[in-house]
Amino acid sequence: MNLKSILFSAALVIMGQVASAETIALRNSTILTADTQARIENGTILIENSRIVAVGQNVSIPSDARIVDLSGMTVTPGFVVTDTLLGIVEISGGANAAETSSQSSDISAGYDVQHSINPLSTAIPVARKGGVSHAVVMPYPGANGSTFAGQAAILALNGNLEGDILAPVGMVWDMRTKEYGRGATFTQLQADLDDVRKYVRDASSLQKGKLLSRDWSRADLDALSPVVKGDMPLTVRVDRASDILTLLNLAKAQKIRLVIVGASEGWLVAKQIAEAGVPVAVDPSDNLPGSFDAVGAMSDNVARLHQAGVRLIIRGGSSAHDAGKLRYFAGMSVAKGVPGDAALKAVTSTPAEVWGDGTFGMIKAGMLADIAVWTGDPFEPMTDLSALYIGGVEQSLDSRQDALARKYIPFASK
Amino acid sequence: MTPRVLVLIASLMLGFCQAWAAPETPYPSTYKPADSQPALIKGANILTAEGPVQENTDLLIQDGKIVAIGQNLSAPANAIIMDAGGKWVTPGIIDIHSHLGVFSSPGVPSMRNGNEKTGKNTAEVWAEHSIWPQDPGFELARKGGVTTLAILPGSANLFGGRSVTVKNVPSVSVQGMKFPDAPYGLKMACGENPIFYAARGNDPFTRMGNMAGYRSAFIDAQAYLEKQQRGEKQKRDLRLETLAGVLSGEITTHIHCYRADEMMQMIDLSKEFGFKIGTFHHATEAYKIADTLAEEGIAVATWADRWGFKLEAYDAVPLNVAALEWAGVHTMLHSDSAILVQRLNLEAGMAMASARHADREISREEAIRWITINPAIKLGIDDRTGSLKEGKMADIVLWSDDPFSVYAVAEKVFIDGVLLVDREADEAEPESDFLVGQSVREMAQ
Repeated sequence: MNLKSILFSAALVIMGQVASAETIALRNSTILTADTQARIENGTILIENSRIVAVGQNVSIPSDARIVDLSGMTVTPGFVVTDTLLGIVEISGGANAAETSSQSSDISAGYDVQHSINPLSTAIPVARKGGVSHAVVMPYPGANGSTFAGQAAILALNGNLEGDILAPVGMVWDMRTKEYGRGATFTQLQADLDDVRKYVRDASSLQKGKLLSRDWSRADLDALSPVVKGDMPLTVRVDRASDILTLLNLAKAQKIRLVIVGASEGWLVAKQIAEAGVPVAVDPSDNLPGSFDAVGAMSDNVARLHQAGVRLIIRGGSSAHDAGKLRYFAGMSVAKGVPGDAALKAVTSTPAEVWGDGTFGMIKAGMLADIAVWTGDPFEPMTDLSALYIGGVEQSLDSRQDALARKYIPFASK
Repeated sequence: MTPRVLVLIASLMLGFCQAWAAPETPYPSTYKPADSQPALIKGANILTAEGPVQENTDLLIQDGKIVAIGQNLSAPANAIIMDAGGKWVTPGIIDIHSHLGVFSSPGVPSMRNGNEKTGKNTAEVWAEHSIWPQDPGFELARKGGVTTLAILPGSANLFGGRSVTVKNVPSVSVQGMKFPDAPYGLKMACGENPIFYAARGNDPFTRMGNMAGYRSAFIDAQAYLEKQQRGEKQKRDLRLETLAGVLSGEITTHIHCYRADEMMQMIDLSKEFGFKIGTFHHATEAYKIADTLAEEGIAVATWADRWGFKLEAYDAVPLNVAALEWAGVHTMLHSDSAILVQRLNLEAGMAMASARHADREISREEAIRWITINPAIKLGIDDRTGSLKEGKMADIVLWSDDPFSVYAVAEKVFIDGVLLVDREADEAEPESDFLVGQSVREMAQ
């Protein structure tokens, strides 16, 4: 990218609202939609007022549209990175450079990760360079010992200082088996959910002292209310097959929506997961028996889950900094036997459906124009991201890493 | 036998053959390649790590060695013949920075055997004495095409101990994996780790404390080496023996160091004590001093673009590897991870891609060296492995695809001509005893 296009992109970001009102026609690309018609050759995407208004081979283009020719390019929805610390971890170790959990003894489920997100984190532009348009940011359990880690948020990676955040989008619960043991932690979860149900029926049950499973704060009860109503998924990081079955049964009995993250031994109970309709976020590189809860970790876990019909979400890499490598984890899933279209959905439409508000994740009329433009197969390292649109606005693809490279490395700047 | 006779025998032995001195090579390698059938790989794209890619070419393996690379090779009667049209062949991958076996899976506390961490200087420990050959990570690395590994201790303290080079073969003992006659290395560490993780309350407390720690240790090692060279008797000291080996050039150095300014300090340290730095590991800021590293002849082993996991890795850039290559630095990719070691080929692809993003290509021929011959050279085993050449060990990977593609799978892996990974064969029992007979694994069959 030359300086001119950097300045142009920066200007677009600053003038976000103005630019998004523009009508843009992206023409002549191979469109991988992540929708029912997976692939459109030589297609056009028409963008108006930040949304996609038409997609297909025969789209009529208004005379005032800015036409962008994308011959030879492949276009996908912007990627959605899941279970990430993007925006809440600047560096993994060090004072005030990371906040991943509640430090309060009063707030656990009520912990709202959206307030921790710094939209100016240097990790965000790096993620954008991997075609990522959205991040599902999830907290970790805090020092308070609670099993509830708090509420997840979706960050649009458009660099807006006010933060383009959708929250809360999910509740994170942690088994904390080390501290409590399985026999206690699942029992506690059921008692907690029973309490929340009482609270939903009658908010005064708190003052009346009828909620006895723990010493509740109103913030925690309010945060958990959408979970028992089935409006918000409960996300659990879990690996062992028997634990997954326990959770499936518990979710069924409690009539709550469950999302599983991790699932090293998921292949073993893939049929049950698929039948329950529970989405699973899995890292295709997770094949080491790293603990006695993951003795069954296998290289083909991701493929077996897909074959069983599980709603697949692909994740991978560490915390915030690897978010832009999501496309390689999708590619690794394909190498292990997941079809390419399914892998694409697993990094776009499926996580968007599970946590999002139905406005993004596919290239489809009516959706926000979150579009990644690639020079080839988006999962291959030798492919370049040539543009990223979020809400119809072309984003800067320059990062602090690029600035450092320009400072020190001859040939770095184009 | 009476004690007196024992003493007599002992003193005779001491007198005649100095039996109290260590054998020339204690803890020797017992590795012997298993017998193998000859194998002919036909019609592959061969990246030799020695020269240009050889398209549609055959490669013949016999008696554990590469015997021929060329067109229309004929195979001995008993050879396995593999049609590799459209597939790729590379040398076996070499990871110059692994902790397999010393930080094993499952990661229970009793298996954290990679950091002695009882003081700032534990140069006396040897990684090979920690290695658990049953670590399931070895087999997974092998399935990623890794045939040789340098297993390092550290980097919690200034001197982490001695590294060892192993062949990635199934074995009950580490001696059965040790790469025969491979030189040793010493692991050292700069920066945050020795400050944060070394015994709390003890020194070093700061980066200047780190430097003082190295200097004091090498002053002692100089005195030890001088006595040794003068032929003066002294009690064997394992710690000083390793450090003296660095000063005399017999033992190479693997220095964990992220920041450019700290690498410059280490270069001055090496000049103060007259040793040559082998390899800076991680070296995420190496691009800031690429020309110096090239001039000094110091190698770098790093990742494609891991960054930000701590402050000293905050300035990592994806163009680091390419910048080093362009400056003429001896460049390598390493894993430092039981997961990443399984896809070092993709790491190389990512580093190549960074160069392309800057509109300046790095060829496959250059990139393959980062994970094969270049680490072989720094480990002192390049005369026997690391590239595809007649007479070398048949450490070979047959890839399903371009090895730098995300879709590439190591279909067959040979170590000394023995076919140890074969994706076409039925899924065998896991090699690691830890996984043998586990109910959960058997349910996968």
